[in-house]
Amino acid sequence: MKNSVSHFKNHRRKLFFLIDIIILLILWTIVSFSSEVAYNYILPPINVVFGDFVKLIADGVLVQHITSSVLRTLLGFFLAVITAVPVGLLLGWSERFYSIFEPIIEILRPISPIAWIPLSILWFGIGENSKIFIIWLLAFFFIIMNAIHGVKNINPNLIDAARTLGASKKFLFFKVIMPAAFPNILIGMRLGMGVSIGAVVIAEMIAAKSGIGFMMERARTVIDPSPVIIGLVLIGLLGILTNLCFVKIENFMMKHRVSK
Amino acid sequence: MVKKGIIKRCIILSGVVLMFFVISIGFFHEQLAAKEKLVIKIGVQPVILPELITQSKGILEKKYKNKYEISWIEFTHAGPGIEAMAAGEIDFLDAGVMPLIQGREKGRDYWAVGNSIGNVTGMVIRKDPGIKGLKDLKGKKVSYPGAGSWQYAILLMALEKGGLTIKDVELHRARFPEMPILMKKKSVDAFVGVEPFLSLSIVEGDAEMGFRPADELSGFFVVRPAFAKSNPEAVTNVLAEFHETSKWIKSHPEEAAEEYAKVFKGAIKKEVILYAIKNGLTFMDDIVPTYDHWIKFINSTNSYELTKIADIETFVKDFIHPEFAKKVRK
Repeated sequence: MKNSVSHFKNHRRKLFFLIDIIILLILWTIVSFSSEVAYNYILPPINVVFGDFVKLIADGVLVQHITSSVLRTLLGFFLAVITAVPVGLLLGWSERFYSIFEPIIEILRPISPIAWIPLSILWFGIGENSKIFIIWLLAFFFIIMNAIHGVKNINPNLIDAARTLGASKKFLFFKVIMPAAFPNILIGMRLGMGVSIGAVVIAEMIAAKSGIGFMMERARTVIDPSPVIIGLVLIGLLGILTNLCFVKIENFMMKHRVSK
Repeated sequence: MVKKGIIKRCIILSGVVLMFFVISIGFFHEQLAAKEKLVIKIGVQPVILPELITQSKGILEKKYKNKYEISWIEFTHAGPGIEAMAAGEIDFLDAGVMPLIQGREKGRDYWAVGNSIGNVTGMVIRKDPGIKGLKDLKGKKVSYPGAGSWQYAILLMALEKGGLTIKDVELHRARFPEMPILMKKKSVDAFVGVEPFLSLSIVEGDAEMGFRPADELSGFFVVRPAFAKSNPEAVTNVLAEFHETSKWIKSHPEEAAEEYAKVFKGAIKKEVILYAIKNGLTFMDDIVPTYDHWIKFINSTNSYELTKIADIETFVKDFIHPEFAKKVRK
């Protein structure tokens, strides 16, 4: 009985997803044909965009753009994880370090990636480093904030209990604090990955030879809306894919937890 | 048991991440590889400029395949190109006169070594029974890229010619590719832009040319000084090929328009580019930059308060280096 109910819910979810896609496609078609400007310059019909998509795949160009963007994102994100997680744990654990560095984080965090671009070009040039810097910067703040809050929001009873049982500082940090903060860190990483995808597109719009952002900006410059739309769809799909990956990673890493 | 499980999973995950890291380094390894030939990095923009055809036809690569390694880097507009040159990331750039002067004013170091293209800028007016000339723009909406641009100065000149001032029109900022779309939607009554967007509006039947400054020298080849000092022959060779391309475009406008359309991948159609080449754009006969022209031009930009250069002669003599282009002329 339980199985057939969940089976039905699964099918219903898929059906609603399909209906949403169909509605989107209908709206797209209506807007495309609403005026000459929309048809030629803003939102060409689905068949035109699809035709251009196929051409880009056949040329091998689209695969190169996607590969460039994905690799840049992963590099920047990876660097953000290995820097933000230890620093976040430290700042969450030590009140002294937190009070020193928290104002700097709060000043730098809200700065838009676009504002960093001229500086990143001057510091790192127009090669990969400047793009990876932008991605690292955005992902870093999301991950560090979640790591800090992950530590600060640990149930104090856990820490008291460990201390009462004679746990050393090292034991406390590695065996109590880190595992307890891990779910928050994972959330920060998931959010960080999302902003990394957005950041790479922005970074590629400035000076690049490949990438989804480069493809979109170049197309905008010559009034070619199809690659812009293809880019938007790809970014959305990458976001969904990375989110799914994180759900799998979360399930894999948290398998040891007893489910309620 | 549980502890061993977590450790095992952490190790597996770290391994996967490390693998991605290694693949990424491999993917970008070409930057780390040593080059034997002289690497020349040329910044380009996706607009109608001679070097776009030099690039698409592989002219430099074919002629100097044993001597130079050419790297083309695309910028969406001049600003990031100028920053890249200041950071030593590119050696050549073709850019508009205002971004170049303003960049120099802010301390960016590059030399103007050759004339590229002229008459890129203009103002088009919407085809409307109520708008017969510049004077009819009173109270109308005009699109422009922003104050401080050369197009803003063109706008002031155009309004002056029509007996109007900036206060007589309603200004709307927009980027060049957006302007013909705004014109088509009748959201604006005129725009001050650049080719091929001016020709796009004209060929589409939405607008007609309202004002174009006479003999406007719009684009210049600039070079990184350190590169020019160590590789003067390379500078002359590259300029020579750009100049040959300009001459070819002038003598073969149809083929050139087709080549540009291929580069833009059909978004800016061949007939629009051909119209721009035949009716507006000037591909320079003489590539050598002159001090007099620049002094006159900067006097003009100072008068419109686009620049504040006190000692124009010194500025120009530091900036303009005609010695490379003179060798091309020979």
